[in-house]
Amino acid sequence: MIWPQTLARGAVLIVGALLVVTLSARGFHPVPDLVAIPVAAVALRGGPRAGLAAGLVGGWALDLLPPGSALLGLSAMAYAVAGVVVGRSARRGWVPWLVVALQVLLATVIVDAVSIVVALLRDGQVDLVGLGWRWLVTLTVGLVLGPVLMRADARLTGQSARARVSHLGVGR
Amino acid sequence: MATVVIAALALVDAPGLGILRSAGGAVLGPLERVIAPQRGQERSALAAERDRLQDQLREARAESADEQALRDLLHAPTTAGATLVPAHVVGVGRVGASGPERITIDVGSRDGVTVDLTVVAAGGLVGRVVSTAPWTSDVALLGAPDVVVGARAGSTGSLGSVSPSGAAAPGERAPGQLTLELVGEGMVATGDEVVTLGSVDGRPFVAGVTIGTVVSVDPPRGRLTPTAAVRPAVDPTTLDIVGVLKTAPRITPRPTATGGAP
Repeated sequence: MIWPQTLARGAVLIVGALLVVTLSARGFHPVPDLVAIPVAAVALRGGPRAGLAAGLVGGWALDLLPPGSALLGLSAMAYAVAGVVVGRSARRGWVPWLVVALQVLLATVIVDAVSIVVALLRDGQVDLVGLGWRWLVTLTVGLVLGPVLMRADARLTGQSARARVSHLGVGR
Repeated sequence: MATVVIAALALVDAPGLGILRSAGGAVLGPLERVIAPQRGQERSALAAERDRLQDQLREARAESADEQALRDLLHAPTTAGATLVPAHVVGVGRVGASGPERITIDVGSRDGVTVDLTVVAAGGLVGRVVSTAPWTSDVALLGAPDVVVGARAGSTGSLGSVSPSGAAAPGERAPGQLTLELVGEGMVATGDEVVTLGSVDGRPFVAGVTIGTVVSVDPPRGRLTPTAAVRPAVDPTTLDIVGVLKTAPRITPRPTATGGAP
């Protein structure tokens, strides 16, 4: 019974993408990277493979949610890379809040580094000040939201493990 | 692996990827319309009285702001004599290194919006429609790397093109500024207004829409043609009400009238 955890992770990633797209339209600036936060949380809990999967789901949500990305699939690749990199720092047990926030920051910086390279290749401009503000806001939100998501994910993992044990008849 | 293949196909602008975007727009677009600010709808009767009154006050203010924004749009020189479809901005794509590049508006093919129509705000040009779904449309903003607009500058109407960086070196422009690159020996000066030149059949850009104002002219060294920095007339981060132009604004002079006629 791993579905509840997978579904919950997917739902959080899609809601994050939806908020990123709609908050800007409501006049919020800068909008924190609400996809990088769950991607980092999942990667820190589940490792590189889980980070890769979370990055692909969150990135594709941003790619396909109107108005989408100018280059289809680019967000998916960028978040997948971020998920793998953050996932390499995965550890069992409690992770300090600051470490979670810094890993969230690392994830969003990796995604933005990809967008900087693409902007330079396409003769676009790079607004480093705007990016800096977003990193700061993402770090701040990640400091609160990241550990909360990790704790919720851990609870679901525990439930899934108990359900699996119960299903197999172990421990009866 | 599929992601890499799709990204590579998008990079070379391969046909067929529009299906993915259309599917995304058809399925997820209505979700954005729901989440976007809803005005003029009654709240649940079960809500507490205080919350209800606060909501009403907030809605009244929002409606008032919307009405003002719509009035500004309809009375702007940009839309004078044009037929347009007013729209709300309901989504802004993840802001990349170059700032916002795409937005979603809450009108689509069922409202008569088609690809390559010009989108304007009260201040001037916003961008062009790049894809439509039944209820929403995606707009590529002026300032996105792939949006280049033919332009006329100043009272002499010097011809050129406006793009994010053009011939300017990386870092030469302040964030948000555009580059005007004149054709041939055109003249341009600080303070000149830059307007759209207009495309064939008015698609993707109709003629005479304000793009922005020249804020500085680049020194001529090492350049074949004059270039200048342009401040856009519209700030893409504050967009709310926009209009999709279905016909071009009036560019012919209004006929004169004689006063005192019976």
